[in-house]
Amino acid sequence: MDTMKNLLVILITAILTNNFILNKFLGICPFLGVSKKLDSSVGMSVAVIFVMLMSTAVTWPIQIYLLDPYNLGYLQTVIFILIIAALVQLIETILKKFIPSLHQALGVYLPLITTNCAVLGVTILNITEKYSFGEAMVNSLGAGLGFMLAMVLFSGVRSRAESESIPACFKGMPITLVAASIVAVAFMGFSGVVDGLFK
Amino acid sequence: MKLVKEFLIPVAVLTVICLVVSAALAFTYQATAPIIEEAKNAKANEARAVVLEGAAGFEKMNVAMTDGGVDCYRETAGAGYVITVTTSGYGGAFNMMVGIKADGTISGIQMMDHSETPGFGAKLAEESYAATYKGKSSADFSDVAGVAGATITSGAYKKGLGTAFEIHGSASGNAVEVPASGSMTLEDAQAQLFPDVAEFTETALDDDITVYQAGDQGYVAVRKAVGYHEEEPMLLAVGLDNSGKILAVIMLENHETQGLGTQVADAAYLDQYIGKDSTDGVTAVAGATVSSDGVKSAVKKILEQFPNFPGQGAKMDETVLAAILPGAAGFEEPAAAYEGADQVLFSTVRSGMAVSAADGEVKLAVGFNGNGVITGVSLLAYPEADEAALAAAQEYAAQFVGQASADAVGASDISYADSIKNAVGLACTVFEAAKGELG
Amino acid sequence: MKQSNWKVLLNGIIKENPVLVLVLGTCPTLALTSLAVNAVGMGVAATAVLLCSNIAISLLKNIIPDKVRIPCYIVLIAGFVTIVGFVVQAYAPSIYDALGLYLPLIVVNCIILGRAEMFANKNSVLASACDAIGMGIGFTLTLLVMGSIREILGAGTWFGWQVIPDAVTPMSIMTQPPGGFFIFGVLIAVVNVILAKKGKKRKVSGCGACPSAEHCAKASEGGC
Repeated sequence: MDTMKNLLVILITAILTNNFILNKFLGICPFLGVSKKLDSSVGMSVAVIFVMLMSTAVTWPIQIYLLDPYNLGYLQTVIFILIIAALVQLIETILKKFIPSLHQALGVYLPLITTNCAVLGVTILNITEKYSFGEAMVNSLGAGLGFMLAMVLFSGVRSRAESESIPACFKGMPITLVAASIVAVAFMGFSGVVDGLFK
Repeated sequence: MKLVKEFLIPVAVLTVICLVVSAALAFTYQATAPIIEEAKNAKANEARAVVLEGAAGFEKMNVAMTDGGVDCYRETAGAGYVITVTTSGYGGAFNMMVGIKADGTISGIQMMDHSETPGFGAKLAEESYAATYKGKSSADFSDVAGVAGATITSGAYKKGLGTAFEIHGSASGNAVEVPASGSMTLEDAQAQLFPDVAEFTETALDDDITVYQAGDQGYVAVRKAVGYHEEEPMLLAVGLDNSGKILAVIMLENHETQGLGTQVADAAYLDQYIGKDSTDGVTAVAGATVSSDGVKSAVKKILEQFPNFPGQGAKMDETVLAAILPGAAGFEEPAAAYEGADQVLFSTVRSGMAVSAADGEVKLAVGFNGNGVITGVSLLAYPEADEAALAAAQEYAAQFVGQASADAVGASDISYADSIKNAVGLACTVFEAAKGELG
Repeated sequence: MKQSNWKVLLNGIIKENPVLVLVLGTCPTLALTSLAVNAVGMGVAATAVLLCSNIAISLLKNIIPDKVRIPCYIVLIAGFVTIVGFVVQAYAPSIYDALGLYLPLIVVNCIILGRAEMFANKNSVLASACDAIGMGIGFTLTLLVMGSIREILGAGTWFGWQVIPDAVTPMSIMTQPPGGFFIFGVLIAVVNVILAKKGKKRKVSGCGACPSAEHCAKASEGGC
């Protein structure tokens, strides 16, 4: 029961309290770039969740069973990013060959994910927070879900903002960022949630 | 040729670059690692000196770290301790270095590696805030005010201090080296419990309990107790008298956490069990719950198995009582103890007495009415399992019903007839002794 | 037509400011600007990596086959990031602590990969170096400006010195995520105004300058 509780706490923290986009500032580029439309937001988010989970599944064991025991910790950055890049390439190829429909929907976003801070960020965070494998997977899932939550919420905000009249200098990026700041304030309200959840 | 150009060369180039980069990294790592290590240590010791005034040098202590503890250093001149703890704040986990003087009060606090909000949570890292805790001991530090608008950080700060005091408690209390295992040997424990008994008869019971019977004085029951370190359980010796009351609990082996779990081996905790025949009301040692529960659970299991101890036998239960004293109810134990009887019960409704007595391996429950006439005899323990033999024995025992003395019944040629007769006789003697109280 | 190296350098500071004009490297911009000193630390670290990687990639541009160029760049950049990380950890540990997670994340900073792709693999070593320095200065300056605004408004200090009297309660939200987004947005708006006044059109923004842009063809309709 305690492990369940622990995992739930990690999950909810990653989605709400420490939302990767609105709190940790990871994954901003796609956030600002791809969140204009709802379907592209969802598509990107699903791809991100997928890559996050797979990356964690590969990078965590490599760190624990290869890098740490042989004192190769300094190779972490190089190896992790290579794994992520390779994974993305692999996933794209596999999707293209075996599930072309999925590739049609998600494929375009995959190359962008390699340079997505959120993916590399979550794999490194799993190590610094000293999570077990299960905790790491849950954290990555939470991170991805939080990413999706922020993206989807935001696409709504942006599509609304489109139809309003905005001063010329704020059009585009600036108004997006200001809107993001307001959404971020809303998410700040979640900071007490986790503590009180399991009282 | 195309294959080489299109495939092998790119892969080769990539591989070479990877190797070169790895080599460069390894080189830089080797070069900078000692510098980094030194910088870390110097920074740490500097921080420790700030936190504990008048410190000369520090040495690391090997003390058990409770949840959240990082390390504990003792000041070489005895000025106190510097304990590093980690706690979870608003922006993530941060470390605190707490200097506790020899008198148990806070000398200084340093908040490190924190990502708290500048202007709010970060305010707790300032010298001025740490100063508000100066001189506080483990009793009153929680009264100090937090910082307005930084509730979560303040709470985490206090929690860190609590952890530091916990570790301090075990660190300072362990100035003397206590051997981690082997508090006492079994022989010594037996000698301590039953000094007059030379020989102990060993019997193995269920539930991993070994019972050493101390003649007719009592028992020493040995069982392991699983505490905090599951792979190295404790070993307990529980001394019991014939009625199931605990004489003493002795720790034979203890591999629990030094300073914390090892406290369950102390008299302060184990004395609680003396005189009890159940584990109700035994309180755990603060901070050593798992170890305490391990001991309690083991003692409880021993007590549960007590009826199966050699020489203990069935007790008179309701069925038996109904058989030997029909119509009687409201059984109470007498105020005095009566020698020779295993168990004596008075019936408050319809004046009567139930006595269980044993002769050798035969144990009987005999019911008497207020005049001393036997109203029923029941076999509680009989050394034969054969149905026919049991029936014969019961038939013989039934001959005593309606008599007022065992001599009224003749002998029999069934195996344990003598024991049965003697047991009845014993019960009658007890009745004579106890009838005064029956009133 | 080759620009003079000096122009290349200046380019990165204003005209093609990586953060405010190209809108690259937004993650560290938002994350590390709650304190001015952290902002400068990040800027300098990223500039160091950018300089090394631009030089290395420009040197190797004829050796690295096109097919594997992205992975090669990544390995090189990751290597430099790790080395810079060690150096910072050894000689400026407090900055290292402040940078935390974002130091290794410099690897995926679009600025670095972007400049490698767009400039270093097409130009001479010296030009690449100047480009790196220019971009780096532009990055650092922007971060410094943002960091200063956020620190002054949000904590009342600048580089740790009390600037606004204690009696005035600072707008702490400025040092927190929402403040980051907000100030960033305002700054870009300001830059837009300046550009508009100068009559210049906004250059390619956002993911357009990202090396993955070529894969992005379809996504560009989605607003990349």
